[in-house]
Amino acid sequence: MDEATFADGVRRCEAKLYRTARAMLRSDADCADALQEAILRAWQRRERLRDADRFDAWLTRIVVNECRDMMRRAKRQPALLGEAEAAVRETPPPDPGLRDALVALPEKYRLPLMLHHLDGYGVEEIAGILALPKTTVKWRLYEARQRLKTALAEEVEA
Amino acid sequence: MSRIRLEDAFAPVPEIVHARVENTLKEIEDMKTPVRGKPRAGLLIAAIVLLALMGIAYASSQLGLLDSLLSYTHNEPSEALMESIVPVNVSETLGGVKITVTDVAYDGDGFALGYTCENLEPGTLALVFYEGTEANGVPLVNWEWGFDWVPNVFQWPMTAEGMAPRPLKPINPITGYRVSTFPEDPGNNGKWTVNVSFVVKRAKSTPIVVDPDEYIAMSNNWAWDSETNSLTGSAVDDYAARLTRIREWGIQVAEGDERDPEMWEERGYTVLTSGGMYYKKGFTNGYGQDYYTEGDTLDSYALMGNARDENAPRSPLEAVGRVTLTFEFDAAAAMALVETYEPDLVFPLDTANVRINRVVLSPLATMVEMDIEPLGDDWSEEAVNKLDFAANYELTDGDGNPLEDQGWGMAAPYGEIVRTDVVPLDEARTRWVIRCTFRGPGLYERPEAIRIVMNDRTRKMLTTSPSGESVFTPEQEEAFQRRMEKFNETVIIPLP
Repeated sequence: MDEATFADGVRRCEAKLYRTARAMLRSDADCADALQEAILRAWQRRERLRDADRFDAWLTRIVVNECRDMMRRAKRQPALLGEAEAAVRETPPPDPGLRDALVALPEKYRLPLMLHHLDGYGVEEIAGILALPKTTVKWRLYEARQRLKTALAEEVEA
Repeated sequence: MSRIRLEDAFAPVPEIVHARVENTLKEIEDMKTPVRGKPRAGLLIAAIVLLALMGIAYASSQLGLLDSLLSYTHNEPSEALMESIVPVNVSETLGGVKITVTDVAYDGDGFALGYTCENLEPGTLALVFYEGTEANGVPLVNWEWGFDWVPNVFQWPMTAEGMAPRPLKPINPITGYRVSTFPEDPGNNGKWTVNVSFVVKRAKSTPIVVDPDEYIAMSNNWAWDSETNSLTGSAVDDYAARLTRIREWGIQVAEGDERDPEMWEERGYTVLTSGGMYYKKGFTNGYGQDYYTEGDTLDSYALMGNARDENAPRSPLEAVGRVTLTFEFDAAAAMALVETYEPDLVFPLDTANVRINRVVLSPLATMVEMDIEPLGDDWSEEAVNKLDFAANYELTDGDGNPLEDQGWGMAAPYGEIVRTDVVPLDEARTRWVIRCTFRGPGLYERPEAIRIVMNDRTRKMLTTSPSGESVFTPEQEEAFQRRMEKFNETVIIPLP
């Protein structure tokens, strides 16, 4: 894969990658870190991508891995945010209530839900991205929908 | 779900993220030959967790601790390293698995433990889980995490060019090693009684080895018992790696969900048993030891509340039992080759001072203990917490040459901050500092000086957009750049 094709692929799925990272990490600055590392990692391993049609899923998987790595590192390092980074204000989403409901879902439900309903990945692709059996992905999708439905219903009632 | 617009839960890609993506693509464009940056600190010693002991006997040299240590430091042992390793050779056999603690080494901070596991019953399969080590009742822990998850390691030879190919054969016996530390001095004037525990499991069924010459394998993926809690093996992106490459790395085993064998096969797993055990080849990412997520497995076992000697529901494994090997160790004598200096040097940086308290040169490691002190009179805990010190460190010689140019192996120049604490200097708790310990591999040759370079590429890239314009206000940019300056500082510590 040449550099231009790679860059086009990254740009094409930038929004997907951001949403995936944002579903796992707490700040946009962290998402930027994760995407940077993931892109570099993907570039260095691009020859291992056998099927160019699977570029999006492959890169998403790398982003997921990087986010998990960052979450692990965050556990062992005190959060010492620089003042400049902390000062960068994050744009609120169009539907903060939905965002809150999504954030309230455990990650194991949130991620499959997003990947399926937002990014359009099939169950098998999600299984590949998240390193889970298909049966697990199906179950988590079902559970995620139920939980989100309940959470949103409660929000409406409130 | 169709009535809910999930996309409304997310803002558009923010400029800070978009800018970083573009900068990264620009960085790639600028790379004539893409080279990965330094391996992640903290992961240098992390590696493969699950030990698969295949019953088919294949000849394999018993390398022991020395070679294991060399695999991640340098290629030839220094005399000091050879001398510092203390042979132990204590064995126990349980369930047809012979476990031997071969040798240990200690430098006052790191405790290196070498061991082998040998399956004595050909044609059967066993898994051995390293459980823990304690000395005089004090458990060994990983430096950063505060608990002991540093995984077992397959031994692999490393050359200056990288890893050497392994034969496509199960390894028996297999060698593991761990390098960790004790949270407190085990005491007794360095006379330690050390206990090392392992848990042995065996497969319920006879393994069948399926070993195609080449196939596309998910190189890291596991799950068990999807009805309760699936273990998500985080991570590895080279799922399309060929077996011919993966085969270089020994065998790794996962407990699979028995209900869906077709799924495992569809996804390229090599099914090695008929009893629900799904195996895959061990892997590496090809960039050194910077990505060994198997460490999560045992960790997750613990987090899921499953003791390692218990089996998951429908597990094809049977716990055989726990083995504890006990031996006496003279830690004080083992430290005879450790050199310690207390230079008490202070290096002024832009936003803080760095005080070098102690330099330790041992065959196992090079350590620099330092305090980051605030400038000015405000040494309160709050002021100290504002000092950002999340840098990595690169070890160079006194002239600023990276040590990897001196014939070290690829991992050698890299060290890590293994402890970072904000600590009070006085009982009244009015004066605080950030106290940290840098730990890098032992030096092959004794240097005249140690030069520490502070940098942080990732954060620096945050400051510019694709057009080169700052995404911060001028004040923010100024503050950020001020903070960044210290990451390009170097300090040189002369040694007597």
